[in-house]
Amino acid sequence: MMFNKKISAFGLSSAILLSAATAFAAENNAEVVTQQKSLLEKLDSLNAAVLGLKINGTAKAGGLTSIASSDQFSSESPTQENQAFTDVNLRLTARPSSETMIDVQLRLHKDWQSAYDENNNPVIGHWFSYDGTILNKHVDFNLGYMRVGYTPLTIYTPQTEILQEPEIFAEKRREALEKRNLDTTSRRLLHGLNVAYQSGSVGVVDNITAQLTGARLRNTSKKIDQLFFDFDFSDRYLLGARVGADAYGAHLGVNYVGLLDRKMTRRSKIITDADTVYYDKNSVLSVDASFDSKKVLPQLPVTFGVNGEFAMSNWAVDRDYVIQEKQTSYTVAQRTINGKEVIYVSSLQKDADREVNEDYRKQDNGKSFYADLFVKGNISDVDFKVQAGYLQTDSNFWSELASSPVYQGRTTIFNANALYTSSLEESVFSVFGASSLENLYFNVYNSTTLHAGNLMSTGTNGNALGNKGAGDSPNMLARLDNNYKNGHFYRNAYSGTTMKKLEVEQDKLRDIDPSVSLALPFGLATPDRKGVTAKVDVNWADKVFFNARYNMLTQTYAKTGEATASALPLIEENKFTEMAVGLGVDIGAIAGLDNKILLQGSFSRATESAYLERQATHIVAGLTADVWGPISVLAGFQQYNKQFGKGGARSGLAFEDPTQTINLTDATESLILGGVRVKIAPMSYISLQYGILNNELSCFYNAFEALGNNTFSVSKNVLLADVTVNF
Amino acid sequence: MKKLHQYAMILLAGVLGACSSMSVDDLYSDSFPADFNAQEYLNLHPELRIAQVLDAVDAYNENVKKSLGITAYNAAKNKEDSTEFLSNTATLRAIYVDPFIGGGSEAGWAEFSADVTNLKKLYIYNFVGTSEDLAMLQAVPMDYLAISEQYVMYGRTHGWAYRACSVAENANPTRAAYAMTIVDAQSVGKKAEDFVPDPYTYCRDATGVDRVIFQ
Repeated sequence: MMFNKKISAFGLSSAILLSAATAFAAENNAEVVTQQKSLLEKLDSLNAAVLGLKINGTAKAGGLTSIASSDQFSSESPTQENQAFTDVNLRLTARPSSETMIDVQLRLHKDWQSAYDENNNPVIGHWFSYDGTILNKHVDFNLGYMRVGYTPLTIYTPQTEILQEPEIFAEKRREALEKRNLDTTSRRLLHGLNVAYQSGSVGVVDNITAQLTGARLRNTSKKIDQLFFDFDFSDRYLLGARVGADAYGAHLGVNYVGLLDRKMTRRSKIITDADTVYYDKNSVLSVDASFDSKKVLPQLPVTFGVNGEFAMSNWAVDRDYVIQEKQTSYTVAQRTINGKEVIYVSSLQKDADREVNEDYRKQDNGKSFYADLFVKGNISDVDFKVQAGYLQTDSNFWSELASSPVYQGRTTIFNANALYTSSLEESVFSVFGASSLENLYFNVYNSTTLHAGNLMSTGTNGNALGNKGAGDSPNMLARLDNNYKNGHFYRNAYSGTTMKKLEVEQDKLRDIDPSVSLALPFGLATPDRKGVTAKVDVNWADKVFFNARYNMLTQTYAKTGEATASALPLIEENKFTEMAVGLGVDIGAIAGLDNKILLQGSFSRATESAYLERQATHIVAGLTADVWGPISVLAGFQQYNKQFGKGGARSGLAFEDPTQTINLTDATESLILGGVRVKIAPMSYISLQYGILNNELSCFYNAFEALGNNTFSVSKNVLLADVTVNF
Repeated sequence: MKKLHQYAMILLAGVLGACSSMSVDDLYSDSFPADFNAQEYLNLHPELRIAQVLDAVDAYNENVKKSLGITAYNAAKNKEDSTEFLSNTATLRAIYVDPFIGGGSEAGWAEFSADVTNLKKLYIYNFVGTSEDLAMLQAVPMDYLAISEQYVMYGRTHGWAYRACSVAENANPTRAAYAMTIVDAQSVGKKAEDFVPDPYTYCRDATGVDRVIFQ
């Protein structure tokens, strides 16, 4: 509200400046083409000095058709899905002063497929923040939505790394992330307040930093396909702080992050006999240190250095539940017995509910450590960086905010309305979802008319027509006020929600999805790992690019969660070997042409020696070519093969059990995507693309009164056409 | 001034601490005679057990009433009382003659059962909604704590005998004779402040007369 007042105070100047501002408008988005970047930055700094309101954004109009075919579809199954939409993202930035900025991003989405059903199409506000650099540029702050990153063991987002990912794929992935307000950086999406102080040079110290972050975290799976912005009893809270100093090219920092379920928030309703409410607390304290020789030895052709961090974690869960017990009380009472008044002591027994709080699980003092040595430099037009590191993380280490990847996968993006021949097929595809390539690169953003049948409640029937749960707030049904309005929905495999340790333990399928790193599914903070990692990146004058990765890691307790009678976890040593190489060649640049003709490819393989004996092979190839004038051709191919030597999984139960209802043994998936892109203005394109998605799952099953081996496969033909305009 | 006040409080606390006795008296030896036995006390006053049984029947029926609703409950009770319960003479007899349930005797049964009005008095032992009344009555858990507490809270101060007299005590004076003033005061006093607690303990001789126990 306060901001609104400020905006109105500047309303006049805003109005005057509006036309001028939009003429210059080209806000520095993260993905700006390199050539335009410096120019835009200059424009930006000009704009930064201008007070007032600025509007820019993107508009995209497009159509999408996906035609699926599968032997597992029933004869009456729909096989085609169409999307036709106009999607406008407006970014309003208001500068009450040259130091601070209010940033509001709005989405208007018109779904032409349901155009006649709509009678009320709300604008969705998906980003609200007040940011600034104040006090002579010593203090940066963010209020509202923000992206914050500390260190790989404290606040961090592990990202999927695909070497030499062709632009046609990279762009699609970025777009899917953006729909969830996410980006490709390792910073984490949060909402709250973040304040960072930079001292600048003080004597021999180059910089002293201090940062404080407070945020509300949302943690619930039901949000994944629901409206974006609301408050929930699953909300939890984060307090992060760090201090650091830089001198002589060295950095030393102390970082703390603590998060907790707030009891008052979790218990917004009375718990009933069937409820057990868990409160999770996680805190991590880390020391990070680094050194870069560039500062002290600038005369050398190469620089070298080290990055390292040591962290300690605490994790504890307590829970509230209700027990029924007999309560006995004594009173003096009177009765007439056989004609005689008798005074006696009467014992009254009654059933009583008593609320109990108990410590449920606790892991103290988990330790994690990594150190990376690097050498980088530029020798006759060859840029290179070589890294080698060691990491060791205890099995009882847990850092939630560094562990939750944004890629969650296992949803079905296209043809989600398909019907399957039997419950077995349906079960296979609902458990394993569509291919990870479909999940990584595609998303559907839909607007649907809300009515009682699809408004959700906690009742057993799952929608507002079902019975209201006993302890539910009466406001639950107030959602029916949205009746016949238009709701925005996603089919998107990315999510900014973090997962608690208990949730991760329940969802073991997550870490068997090899599109998330096999050895380090939760980044450097993955518990129970030790071993070495190595990286090489070479860039020869933007003409030839080479990357290589090699990881050798060991897990001690591969049979996660399984304990012997004495409650000690079983020791099963599991060795991960991961290798990946990538090569990119810009033929255009080598031949001295102005046109970019970039050919890219990579190959990676990951194996494990025990547990499920998984093996994942990944092939990537692509072409990005400026053909003529504004016309470019983009094409890409990817193939994943995932093998499970000891059988896959159906749910969070014991994996190696051959009696499990459905065991995935082999999955092969591929994606070919190609198309033409025409540039109509800076950062504005018309694009036409065609893709083929194949997904093949081999399963052993003993379910639904059937036993056997079968291959379940779905292929999809996707046609995408769109016009994107940046303004 | 503030300091002085603080010191004064510390001094006061010290004095109070020093003067207070740290020993805790044994609650049980103070409350009960050394040879108190709940079962023996109960044998002398079976109505204490009868009261427990009746409480259990009431509690059970209260729950039945809650689940059936008052109308259905009354209908069920009336039907049972008048037919199954009242017609089952064997059960009624067993209830009546049990000293800890009906409190009657074999000798009195013939006279008691001759009058239906008397039998109807046994309605209070009917568990509504079941025909296993006798078994359930016998299975009502015994609460010795309630029996003992009754002696502490009421029986002792009202001169209830707590055990049988020994041969030597058979000649002791009776309560009526020995504690006349107290017995009178207790029978006359209607208000709480008029109450005079009985300072003596009593045993009961073979003829049912309560006699003073001399320590």
